[in-house]
Amino acid sequence: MKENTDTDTQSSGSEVAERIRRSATSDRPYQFLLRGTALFFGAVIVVFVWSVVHTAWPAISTFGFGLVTGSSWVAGTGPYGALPLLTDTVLTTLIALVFAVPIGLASALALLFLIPQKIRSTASSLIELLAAVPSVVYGLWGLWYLVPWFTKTLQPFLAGVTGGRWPFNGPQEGFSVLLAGLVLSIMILPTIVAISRDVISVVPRDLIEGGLSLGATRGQVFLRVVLPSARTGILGAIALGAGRALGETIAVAMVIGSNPQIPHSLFTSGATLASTIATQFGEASGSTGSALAALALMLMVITASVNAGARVLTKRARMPR
Amino acid sequence: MKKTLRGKLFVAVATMGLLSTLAVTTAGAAPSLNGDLTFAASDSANAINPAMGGSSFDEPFFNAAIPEFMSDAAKVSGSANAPQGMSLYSPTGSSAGKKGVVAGTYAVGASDVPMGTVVNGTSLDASILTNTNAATTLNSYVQVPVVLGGVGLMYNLPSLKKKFGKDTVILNSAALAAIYDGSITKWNNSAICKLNPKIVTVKKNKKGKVISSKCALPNIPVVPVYRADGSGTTFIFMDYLNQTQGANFKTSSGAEVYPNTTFNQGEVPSNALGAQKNAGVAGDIEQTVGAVGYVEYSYILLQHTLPAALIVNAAHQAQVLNQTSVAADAAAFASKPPSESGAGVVSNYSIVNGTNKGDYPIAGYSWAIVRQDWNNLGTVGGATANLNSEKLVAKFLDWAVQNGATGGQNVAKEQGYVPLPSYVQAVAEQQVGLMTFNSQSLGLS
Repeated sequence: MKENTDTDTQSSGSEVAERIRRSATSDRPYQFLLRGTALFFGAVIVVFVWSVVHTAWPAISTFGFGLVTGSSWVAGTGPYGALPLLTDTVLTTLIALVFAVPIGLASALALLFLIPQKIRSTASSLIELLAAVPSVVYGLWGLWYLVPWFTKTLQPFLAGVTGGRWPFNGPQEGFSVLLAGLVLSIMILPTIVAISRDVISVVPRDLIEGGLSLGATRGQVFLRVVLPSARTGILGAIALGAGRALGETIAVAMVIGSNPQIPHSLFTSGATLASTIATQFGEASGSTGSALAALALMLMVITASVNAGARVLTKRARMPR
Repeated sequence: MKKTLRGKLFVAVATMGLLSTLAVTTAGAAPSLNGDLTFAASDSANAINPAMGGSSFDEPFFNAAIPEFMSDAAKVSGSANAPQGMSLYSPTGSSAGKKGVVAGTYAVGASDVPMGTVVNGTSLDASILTNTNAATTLNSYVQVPVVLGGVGLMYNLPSLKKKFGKDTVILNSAALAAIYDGSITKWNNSAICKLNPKIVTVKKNKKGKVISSKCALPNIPVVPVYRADGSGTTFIFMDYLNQTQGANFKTSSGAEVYPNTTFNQGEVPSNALGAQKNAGVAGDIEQTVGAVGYVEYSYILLQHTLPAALIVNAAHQAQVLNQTSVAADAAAFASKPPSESGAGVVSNYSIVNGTNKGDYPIAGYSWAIVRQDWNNLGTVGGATANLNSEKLVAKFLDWAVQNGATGGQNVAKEQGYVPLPSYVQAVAEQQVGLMTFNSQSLGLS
């Protein structure tokens, strides 16, 4: 995100940069310090990625693509097939986004335009408070309150709706990809609300008033004027939320059931990349440790590509039509 | 450096009345320890804080024993000399305990399986014991059995509690194997019903004659809960299933669950749930009606309200899990106490499926693993490795295995473990007695 802004401001910033470069010699130590810091963190990232790859290498060279395509994950002895973990990671994140994006956008719009000024700040700080809750607390809440509610109420109800058919078939144990996705959606909600509120708040008043004066309803203005002009920032919000959902460990580990399998319904228990690393690293040695590092690598690739994808989309969205 | 566990075993055997001349010769050399808690000012014990961690099976024991050790030592030696502020034990898991002691981050690493145990020709610890230096060589360590505990099958069937409160569900190894490989999916499966003749709804006619009796186990799914992390408790449970249900734990369905290369979760049925540590398994069972899972006895006795199933033992009795029945199981193996081969591999550690009457068949010892000689080690468990720090750890372990009035085994008993049988206690004392500093005896008593 940050680098993106840098490149965008390069043209206007180049003069400033030139002036800084030509500045008095007394600034030299300061410049060295800044350059040094930048280089240092660049080096840290390189070393970090290298060490993960290095640790994962034995597993990669032994199992090759089987690491990604294998459907059986057996800690200790192998085989180490991460396909179930990958599908569960993507599925829980998608479930989280399905709930969190519409609710988050609606809350952001409500906070800006519908809720009376008096309670607006209280409401938004309450939502932001959700972001400050440690993830283990969400995990405990999921384990103690949502698991019994799922088994007693929600799962029988959903199974009744589809007559026990897909996607609500299978064991009704509470622990499931659906529950993990639901907990994740609550965890990423504040991120989506806070960022999309900020980007919507800078949509020019003229546009909104123009839309209203042309006779559009409030709903039409939201959908046709506000959301399209804020789409760049909203995509960024979704990407950040997805990133958090993909990488969440402990809350997911507590409610997903830690049973690595390719889900055949939303009620299936599972295990994500991050939750498997969190559950098994303490005991891992030898081949398991290496396979877990390979999982970490996959997780890094996925989150990096979500980020990169979001950047491409935001860049495209920002181009004038 | 050469350990002489075998020699001391002879001592143990000698005390049991089976005399041999060799035993008599070794008996003079081996120290007889009694958990002495005397610390002098020169021991600087109060300034040492060695870290310990590992098996979560042992957590209730160590975390009750460490404060007790400090307070008992303070009574004997005065609080100025006695150890103070020792950290509590970290229940990071058996493999983490072994890794920690090899890496030197734990002074004592605890494991439910002795380090270097070979299963089906493969050492469980081949990846950490690489024999490249002293730290990665099994012979550099002493392994002290510290607690004896049972593994309970905790289950959550609230509907039975009302009607059959006093009748606990009975399971046997075949039913457990079938539950854990997914071939039994409902509680009222005929195999489980057959084992539970008391849990029935009986219909009588007017004359009081029984006209029908129907299995009253609920028609709800069985949810097996297992340890998703590597676990010594899993090892003990799997050891039991391996020994009773065949080396590969193969069942009639042909499904191979938890292959005999233990310490992993194997291929588990899709309805199973995984959880972390003993506490996590117990927590998952509490949240899930129909769940059953294996946890250390103290987690059932002290921390949870759910019952443990009776297990049918080798003498065909449905046996309840308690301290007496676990002691009976250990006693069945009195004739072959844990012993050690030349390379430091401990054999006869397994005590599952004993043949005694009153025997609860799923039990095991847990082992404290510690470097035999701390000279030139730098730091061990965060403490400077010197004579004083090694002595503190040795004294702690010595005290921990004692049965006497103030010994650590009393703490174990309060926490739901079984005091070590005398012949195993002898092994433990002998192992602690092998600890040296710069090849000099620590002078324990």
